[in-house]
Amino acid sequence: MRVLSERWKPIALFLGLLLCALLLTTLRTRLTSRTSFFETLVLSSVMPFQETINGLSQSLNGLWDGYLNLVHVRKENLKLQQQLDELQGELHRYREAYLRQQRLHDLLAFRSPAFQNAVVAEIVGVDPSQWAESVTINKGEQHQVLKDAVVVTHRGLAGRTIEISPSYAKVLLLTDRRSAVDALVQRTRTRGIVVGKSRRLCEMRYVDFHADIRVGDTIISSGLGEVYPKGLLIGTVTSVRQKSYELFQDVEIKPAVDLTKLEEVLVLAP
Amino acid sequence: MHVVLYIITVLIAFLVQTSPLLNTIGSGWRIDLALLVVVYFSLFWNGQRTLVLGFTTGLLQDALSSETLGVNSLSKTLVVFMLQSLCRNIQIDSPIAQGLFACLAVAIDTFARITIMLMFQLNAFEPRVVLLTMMQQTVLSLFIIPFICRAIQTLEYGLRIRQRGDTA
Repeated sequence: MRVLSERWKPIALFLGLLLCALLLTTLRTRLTSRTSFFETLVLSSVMPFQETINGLSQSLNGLWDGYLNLVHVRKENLKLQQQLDELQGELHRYREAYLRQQRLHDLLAFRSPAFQNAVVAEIVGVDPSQWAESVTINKGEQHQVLKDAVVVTHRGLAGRTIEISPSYAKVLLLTDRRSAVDALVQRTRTRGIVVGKSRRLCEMRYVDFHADIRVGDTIISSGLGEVYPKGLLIGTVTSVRQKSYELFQDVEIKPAVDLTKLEEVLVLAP
Repeated sequence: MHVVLYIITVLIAFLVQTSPLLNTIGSGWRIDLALLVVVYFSLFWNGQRTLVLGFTTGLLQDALSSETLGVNSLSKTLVVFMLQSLCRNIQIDSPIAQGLFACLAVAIDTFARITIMLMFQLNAFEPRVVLLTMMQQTVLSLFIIPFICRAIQTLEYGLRIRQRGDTA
């Protein structure tokens, strides 16, 4: 009897944990309006480590370039060589700071009078899952970042915020399968919905079979849905396929923003 | 000390996975290090605590990810259960065996996830995207799992959880 109960214990535990996970998923799919306390706690605990590591690796890169890359130093040129390396390190740091300043300048220049309260944020983490496309930014409730705030760069639309904690926020990118933006073809005003397809591509659904749309067309947000303002650049059409037995065309879109190389973004206040 | 080891390995795995600097290997290739850590615990640790560890790892991954809470915890609990059931009479010190179990773990994780998405009518992927992601994950896991196992075992020796010469 005892042997039997010992044998069933792991199975009972496994079934219990499985039920807990299913219960969590059920609750979460029903109550999606707020970020849970557990998620806020985990995000606030892990992201400071991430920020520290990012800062440390950037400092080490500068140190390596500036001070450690000393090869073939001759006696008579030792002092000059050292100075040269220090200056190169400083130059590298200034160059990096200049590039960062340029990116931020472009970002801030994009702010229109309608979005004067936009917040500049840095990407500090990416989604640990292969099946989701989202990033974590270093601004949250304390910085007046709200849920469903639009996230852009100077090149175009990047996504929207979906979870907010006091100091961080998660941004769902355009390329995620759960993202949906009501969109227009800029040239012909044909309507459709842009959804995420893969890591670098989106697709535009419900484009009428007879609609005029071609490769190279620019896609912008239509303003419908009360989330994305009108006129934000989404991307360009890369392929259009028509199948005679279908009602809609298959349209593939390359996002205007390279979502795999985001560093700084602008969060638009609604 | 087991708890300390678990915290260290899972924290490192998540820091690497969420890092914007190290997040890709090549164009669009990413690896689920948390899953590989769970594979290690399933193969080399005994007892019901590994089920709880798998559940907890999945839950933490759900909290850091934008996915629905419960998806990863369910899939990783299933991975632990299946791997522990299957590895009883297999020599798991072999890198080949570790690689095969890692591939199996990826398959279980993927199919569990798809099942949950269908059950809860969440947005599903195209079959092509699922296949591509699963293949990438399988290839990467096959090559990386022996290094993960070696690294965690070294940590175990350092924390004196395992003595040199101990078999699994």
